[in-house]
Amino acid sequence: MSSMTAEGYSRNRNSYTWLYFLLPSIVIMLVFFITPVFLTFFYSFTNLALTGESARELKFVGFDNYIHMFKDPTVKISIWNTLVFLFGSAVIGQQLLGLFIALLMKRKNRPFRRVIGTIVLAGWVTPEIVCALCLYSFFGDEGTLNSIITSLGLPAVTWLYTVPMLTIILANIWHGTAFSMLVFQAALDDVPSEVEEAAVVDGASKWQVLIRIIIPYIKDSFMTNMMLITLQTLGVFGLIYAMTGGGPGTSTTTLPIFMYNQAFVNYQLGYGTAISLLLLLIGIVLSLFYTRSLK
Amino acid sequence: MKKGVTASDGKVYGVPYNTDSRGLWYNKEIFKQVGLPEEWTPKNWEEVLDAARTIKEKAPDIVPIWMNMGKATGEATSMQTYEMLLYGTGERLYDDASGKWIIESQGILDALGFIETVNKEKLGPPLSKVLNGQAGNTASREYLPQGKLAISLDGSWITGNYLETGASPWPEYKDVLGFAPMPTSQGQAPGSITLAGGWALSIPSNAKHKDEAWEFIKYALNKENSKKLVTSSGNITVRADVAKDPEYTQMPFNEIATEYLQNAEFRPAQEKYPEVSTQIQTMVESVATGTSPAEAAQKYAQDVTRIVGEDAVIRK
Repeated sequence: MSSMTAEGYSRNRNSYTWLYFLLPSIVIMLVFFITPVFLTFFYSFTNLALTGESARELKFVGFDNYIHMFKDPTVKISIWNTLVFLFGSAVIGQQLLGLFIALLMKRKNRPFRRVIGTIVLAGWVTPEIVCALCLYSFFGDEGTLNSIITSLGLPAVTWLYTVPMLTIILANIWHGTAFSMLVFQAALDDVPSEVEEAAVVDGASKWQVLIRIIIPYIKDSFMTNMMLITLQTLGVFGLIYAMTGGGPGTSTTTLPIFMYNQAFVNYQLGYGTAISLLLLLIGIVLSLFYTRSLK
Repeated sequence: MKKGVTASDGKVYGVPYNTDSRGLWYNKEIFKQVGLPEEWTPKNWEEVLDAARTIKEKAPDIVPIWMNMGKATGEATSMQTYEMLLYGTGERLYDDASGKWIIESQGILDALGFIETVNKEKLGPPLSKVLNGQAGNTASREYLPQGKLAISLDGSWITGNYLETGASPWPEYKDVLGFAPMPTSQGQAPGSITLAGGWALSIPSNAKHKDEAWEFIKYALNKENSKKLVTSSGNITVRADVAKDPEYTQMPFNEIATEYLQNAEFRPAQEKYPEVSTQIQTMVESVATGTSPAEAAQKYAQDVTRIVGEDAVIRK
């Protein structure tokens, strides 16, 4: 009878059992993730297109797509828009608002937390396109927001036309804050109340308690959340496309929208894949930055 | 119509089954109200602008003229607005003889000038309405039926919206609406212009059952089926026999819209057209938002050169 002790198990038995268990996940990752990424990488060096002669005969064009990308002025605009959108809606908007709501809800009674929590969650749970349509009608020229504003006697604003970037940032904050709120709720519950109470007894103001006690305790969650919502926000497409289409002009054209236009409106899939790799690169750089800060 | 399915090598590549034309839809009641002729046939661009100016003066609450000018309305901006104007100056997008894209010409500046005038004199709708993706629908489904718009440069298919089964049923449309041909810039020959689009059936060269496909095309596009197809979709037919058929002609506006096909022009059957079209939309939108035509045209020249290459462009 083979020994069933912990060490015996791994030394005497076939030590590849773990591999068999992992195999299904590895296969799925390979088929649906690794292979497409590899193919994207490959296609970015070709002139793959949906119509035209290159659709029939794929040609290897080397770094042409990348050179084109560097020369294309819209690429710089898209990168800038993406960073502004990222910073405004994710880093500042969702993080701070989520933290704020979580702080306010701390130690309040259960029914209160549940009601508020559900309302905030509604934005997160709603599918992106439904969100986009709701907010389009909210911010539209004759929309709810303008109706409220004009009933107060103030002039209406054409939100989606005059301040489109601000509008989509607000829309994304509405859509995604719940995630940060949930993360921070969990993190705040981990802050030991004795430390907090001790600080209050010692005479610390609410603000000092927040900065000196609470924030250091939730620093890890803060960074992890930052990384997660950064990566999520980098990929936001439907919300922006449905609300402004990337316009007016290129004022709300982020990299995903630019990529879509190149790949599916201009039919240049090769170029589109090159841009998607640029987006991937930005995501990697930002993630590395965050993981470093976590150490 | 054959021109539409003929490629630059002179060979016919498909069998069209429907098409469309574009022109100036106008509200006869508003015209009567401001003293403009009910049977309106403007001879040149100035007459179109004058009609718009009259409406602005005498009926200030009504939008005089609507033309899709945004990037968000995509191909509608290129075809219904820009190309209708450019081709009306006699210029084209692509020079078949030399096989090059025309990136600089007086025609481009004139077309952009028309758009600039409409915006400078506020003859069009508020920019926030016309530069978003819904502009086409706002004009045809909301403003026209509700009498808020006097003239709309749009396609023959918008009447599909006003049928009982359409998006915004409007039983009186055949009496209230008129469809005037879009004139050429100075009224020069051929007098009016329209772009024609539509769809065709083709057989790919790698197809395995070419003969069967051909039999299918012959059957699907025979007179009976062709007629059924266009009457139910509100498009224009390409068959001369269907064009004379009473079932086809009794649909309001079908006859005139089909007549306009006499002077129909087509978009360049070039691989790079979709990309060039995007540059056109960018150019039109920038003029609509205040950039000077000269500046916008210059950027267009640069962008198109970048897309098709230095040796595929000419300047006129």
